[in-house]
Amino acid sequence: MTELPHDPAQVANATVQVNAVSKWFGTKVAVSDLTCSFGPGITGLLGPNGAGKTTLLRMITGLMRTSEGTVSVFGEDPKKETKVYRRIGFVPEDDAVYGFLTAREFVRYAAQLSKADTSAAAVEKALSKVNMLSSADRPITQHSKGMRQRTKVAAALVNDPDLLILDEPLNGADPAQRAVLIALFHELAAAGRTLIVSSHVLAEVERMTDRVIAILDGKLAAAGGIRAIRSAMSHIPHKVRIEVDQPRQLGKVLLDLPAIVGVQVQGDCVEIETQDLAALGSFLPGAVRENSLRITRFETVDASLESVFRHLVKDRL
Amino acid sequence: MTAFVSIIRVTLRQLVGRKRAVGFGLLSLIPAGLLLAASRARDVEGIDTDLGALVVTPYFSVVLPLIALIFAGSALSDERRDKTLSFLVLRPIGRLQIVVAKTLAATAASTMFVVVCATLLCVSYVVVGGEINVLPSIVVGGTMACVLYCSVFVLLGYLTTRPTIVGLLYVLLIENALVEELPRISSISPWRVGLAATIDMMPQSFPARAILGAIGNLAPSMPSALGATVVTAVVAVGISTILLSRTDSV
Repeated sequence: MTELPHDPAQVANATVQVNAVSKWFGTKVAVSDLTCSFGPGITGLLGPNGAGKTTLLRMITGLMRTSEGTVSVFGEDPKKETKVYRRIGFVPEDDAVYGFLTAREFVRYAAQLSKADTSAAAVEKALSKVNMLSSADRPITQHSKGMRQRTKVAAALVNDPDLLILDEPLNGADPAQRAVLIALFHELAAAGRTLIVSSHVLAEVERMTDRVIAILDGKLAAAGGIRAIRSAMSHIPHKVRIEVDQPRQLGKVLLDLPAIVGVQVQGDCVEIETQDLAALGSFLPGAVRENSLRITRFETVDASLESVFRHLVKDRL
Repeated sequence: MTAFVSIIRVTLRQLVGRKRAVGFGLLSLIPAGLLLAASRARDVEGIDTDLGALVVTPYFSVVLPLIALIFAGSALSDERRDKTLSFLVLRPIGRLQIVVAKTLAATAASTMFVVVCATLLCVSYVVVGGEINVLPSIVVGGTMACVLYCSVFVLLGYLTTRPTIVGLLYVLLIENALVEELPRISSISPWRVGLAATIDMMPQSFPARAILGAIGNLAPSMPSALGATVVTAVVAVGISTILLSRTDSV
């Protein structure tokens, strides 16, 4: 794991405390010895698909038992103390909605189950926060994925929760809807609520928060501020693919550049790994002129979040 | 509205869709239709025999288990299938309340159709010369059987993703084949328990003795049937509650 001062996986005033938690299904380990905490504000739970984010969130909510370790929410075990659910709002990744209800009925049902204010005004308020009032009286089956997503968020907000757990809440939302939801999350965080937002898209999390818990293969890969994680990622080579008429010639020239970590020629393409993308950018035009090369395509092969995290995890193994 | 009542209300809407209402409505017509068809060339005593036979088959042994099985099996398994179980359980309400509400909703939906079916059967019985006083006994026995089936099949719906198939196998192979061969295990057949209560409550004038054989070694006793119903329902609801509390709800 990336070494950061004062155990960045922990916060001082934790709302949710995860202690040495593991979860396995038969022989498959979904979460392994994970310790972290979440406090007021937004924390991004980051990791590629299948990293264990949803399993961790389900253990935090009490939907799943831990195989080992403990989870406490507001100092209680949610599996045993159902009263903590008065203070929790959960937006699952799945389309967990009743299609035969309208959005308004669904949100009211959530309020009734949470023993919250079930008045028309309270339901209206929750729906208006996610811009769903205009479609509130249509059956959910007629809603788009983004609308269903916002309806779930409204249902999670109707009991005015202190802790909001959102599993990939921006999935299916268009850019305008994303902006509405992100603004809403910022507003809730500013009001002192704890928000845990899982995502597999780094840029998405970056728009919401600076604090991140990153997991890979069920293990803690990195924790702390996005900047700290970005800086930990800075030594990971960038990969660039160039389509050129003389790939071997270009490869030979590039090997003289100190920032180049590796060169691989594949057909008409040269795949380059470099520590310094800027240096490559300034070197390339001159090399092309001097060697009379003709570049037909240049692309950075964006390192996936998974490969970045894998790199971070490799450091501690 | 309390959380408990809300769960019942939403579950009823979830269970009784338009297709099911039409399908079960038509199914409910079958015993009455058969009685009317059979009554053409019968005297009054023959009509009593026909009603007795139709109360056993199809009312108790086919219509009732089928309706209860589909409603009760769906009550929790639909929540699992549609991933809405998390919506339900991550609330400040006890798991027992959830299970009882689900069981009551399934029982209410089943009983509604079973009562309609019994009423239509008895109305056709009146039309062909019988008396309406047989209705309460059929309704009470049918309701008991619904409670029994629903409490067990709600549990089944939590345990398996295919409760309807498993339930149908139980009804066909265990209840309607094995118990037929081994009458001493009649008590594991919910519809026979309900029928035992019905026979006990039938008016003196009705020749209920003719259908005694259908309940195997069960005593035609309303109190015994009620006791069996209560005990089974409590045990099944208890097991469902424990499972819902102690297993992963996803």
